[in-house]
Amino acid sequence: MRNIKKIVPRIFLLIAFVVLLEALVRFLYEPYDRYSIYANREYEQAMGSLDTIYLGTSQAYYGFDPALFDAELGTNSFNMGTGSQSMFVAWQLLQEAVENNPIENVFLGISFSSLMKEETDDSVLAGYDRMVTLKGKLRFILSDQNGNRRINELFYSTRVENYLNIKRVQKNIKKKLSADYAVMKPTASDNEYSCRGYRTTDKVFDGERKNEENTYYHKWNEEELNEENVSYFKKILELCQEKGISVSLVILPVTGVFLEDAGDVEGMHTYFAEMAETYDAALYDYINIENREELFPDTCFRDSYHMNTTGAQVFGNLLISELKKEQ
Amino acid sequence: MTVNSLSFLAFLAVTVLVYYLIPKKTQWVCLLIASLYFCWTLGNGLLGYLSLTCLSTYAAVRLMGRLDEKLEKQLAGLAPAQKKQQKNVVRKQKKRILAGALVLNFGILVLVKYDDFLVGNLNRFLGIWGRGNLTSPGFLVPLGISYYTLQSMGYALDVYKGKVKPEKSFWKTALFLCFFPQMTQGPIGRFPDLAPQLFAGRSFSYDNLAMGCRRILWGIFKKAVIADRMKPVVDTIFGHPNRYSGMTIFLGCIYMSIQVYADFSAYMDIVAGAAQLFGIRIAENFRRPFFSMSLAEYWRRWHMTLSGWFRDYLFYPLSISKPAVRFGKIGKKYFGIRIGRLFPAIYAMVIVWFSTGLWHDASWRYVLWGAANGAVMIASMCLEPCFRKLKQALHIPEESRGWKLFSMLRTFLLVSLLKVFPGAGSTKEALKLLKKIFTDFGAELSYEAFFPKMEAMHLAFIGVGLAAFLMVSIFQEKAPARANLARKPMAVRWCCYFLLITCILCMGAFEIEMVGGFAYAQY
Repeated sequence: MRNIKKIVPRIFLLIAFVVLLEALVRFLYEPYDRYSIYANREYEQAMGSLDTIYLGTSQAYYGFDPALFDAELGTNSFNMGTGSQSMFVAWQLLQEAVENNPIENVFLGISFSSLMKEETDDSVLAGYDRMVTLKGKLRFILSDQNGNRRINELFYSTRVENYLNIKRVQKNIKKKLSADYAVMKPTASDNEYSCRGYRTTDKVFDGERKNEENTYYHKWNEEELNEENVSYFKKILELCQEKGISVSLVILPVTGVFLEDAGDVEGMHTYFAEMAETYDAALYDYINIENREELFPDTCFRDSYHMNTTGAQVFGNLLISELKKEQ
Repeated sequence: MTVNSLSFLAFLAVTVLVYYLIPKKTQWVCLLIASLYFCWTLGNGLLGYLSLTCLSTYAAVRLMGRLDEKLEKQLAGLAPAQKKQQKNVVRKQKKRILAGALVLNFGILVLVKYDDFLVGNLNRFLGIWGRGNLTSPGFLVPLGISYYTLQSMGYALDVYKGKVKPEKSFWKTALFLCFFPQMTQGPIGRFPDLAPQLFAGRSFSYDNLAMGCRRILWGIFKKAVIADRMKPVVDTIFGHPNRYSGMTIFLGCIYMSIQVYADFSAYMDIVAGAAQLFGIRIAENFRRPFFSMSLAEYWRRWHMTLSGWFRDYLFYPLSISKPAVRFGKIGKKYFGIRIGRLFPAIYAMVIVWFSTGLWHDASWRYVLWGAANGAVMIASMCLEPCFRKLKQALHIPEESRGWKLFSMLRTFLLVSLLKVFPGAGSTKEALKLLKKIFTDFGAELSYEAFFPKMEAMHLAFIGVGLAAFLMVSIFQEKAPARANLARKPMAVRWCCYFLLITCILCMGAFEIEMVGGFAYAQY
């Protein structure tokens, strides 16, 4: 008993110190204009009422405009796309969304990397940063097989790149202590945050594929699918089937330049078509579509595979019209 | 799971809790189950290999023990001559049993760890006659096999010599061999020291908890802030040595020396702290080796359980063996009495250092590294009188601070220089780098030459870590720092803890590509 009286307060003291330290580091070093801060704020405000979510990589967060879909379809949606989102991250985000919202529709944006690419640590951390509930965060950490990454997830202080960036700290303090920080949005830049997780830009693709693009993308090859991604992909479909949630697999549009070196594109369609049939999901393919080049010219893209504002509107309207036909 | 991971800390916490909640008689069972589970998580068939070692060691020591018991009964009532005869008979029988255990266990180690090395060299040899296309079996090497094999064979040797009585319980023997904190990188425990602690039941002690946690925290600090932070610059230099001058390569050797020490000693702190939570004191492996004033002293302070094992089970028996005595006679005949007297020790040292090099890794560059260490120590031994005369002639006061500092620096630089062998990718490259250090030093006063591809902020973190490490080491050299800290007021202690935690979280190298396992787990 005496030992417990000694140990328990000390444990609480340690935990309290770490919590305070983390809060302080976050306050000083987390960039005030990180788009995920605003996305999470909006997500928390909308929590409990969402009926539709969009999942996927950066292609998804540039492609699905919740305002457009909500206006046309009467939904209450949120874009949960994150950079290089792996199926593990999509699975975690879906679980949290389903537990806290009356989700009826899930749109899973399919990129070439969705099932091919191994998850990167940055992409997993970006996904973790979009979790808003304690239960969701704990489940994420416990499910993450990478022990070292768990430390980054638990402790923001281990992620700060430059503790000597005093200018950044000063800016953060000034902005975060300002009266309008609660309603402030990121300042206009190349990647402008719009609303509800959707990011948009007016930048237009110059037609030239850069060497660094597609560095993390694989060409579609069914024999090289990443087992972990496939496993979580099936879990997503199974969960939606179990909960009676309508799932739409959406192969997102890319430029012709990208498609010149994208592997077996028809095979990709066949694979997802089979998966859609097995799990009672819908498939919308905007790569193997007729008149693809006319519908999605280069002016619809910011680079070889991300849509810009124009592209997102074209894509959104196309998808909405198909959805309306089926209703 | 590695000992610096969150999962290990969680596993440790649960094990400690269960350990103190169950009856004292069954506490050793808790340790055994935890150790077996830990071994299972390490994979690579470790449990299988470990079972074989446990069974063979247990069988061998029990058989030898039974022979000793039988002999004791037989000796009563025998004449002295008959007693001697009977003892010889039993000794031969025990020798056969011991030989069987040694051959089996070292055989497994050689097969699993040295298959590629042996087959590669055999192919090279057979290649002279145009053959040599054997393929190695490619066994997966289980973590810790080098350590627990030495530990088990040390136990068998101790039983053979009659130093310890064999443990009757197989499961307790298994616990001694697979006690989880020391599974992957040692220390190599001795049965008389470790076993009684493992099997004894004990009550919870707050002091053990506090000291254990302190030591774990210190270990994590060294690992995260120093060892893992220094790893990238060491990898950069040794990964692309052609890009750098001899000076940078030599600096790389120094950085590697510090990095490996921080890494290995961090591991030791974590596992010693973990063991202390159970009230168990495992053997220390380090005693501030960089304060050594000679290479011989360095090896008495570095990886002490390994050097102790080689000293007790290889060096001493070899130095009094018949070949060593014969060698000594040859030495006396041709080199005089003084040098001749050293020949048995030289004979033993050559074998010990060859074995030490090979134990570390199955490659000729490690054999060369071992040979280089041995050569320096043998030369020092032979030339010791000359050095003494020289120091007297130059009136060098050996007790002066200046001389001590010089000796420490000299030893540190020598040890660092020899790190070129482990650092290089191959034997050829190691020799090339060594040559480059001496023939193409290319001294350059630029940041990039001193700290290639290292950010200034990371360098600052390492500086802070090393300063703390040095300060603590200096205190420890004079008096145990941890015991001193325990006597300080609570506010002072907790400020230290908070400072360490802050340094670990803010300065630790948790960038994903950096943080990994421990260096000595590869051996």
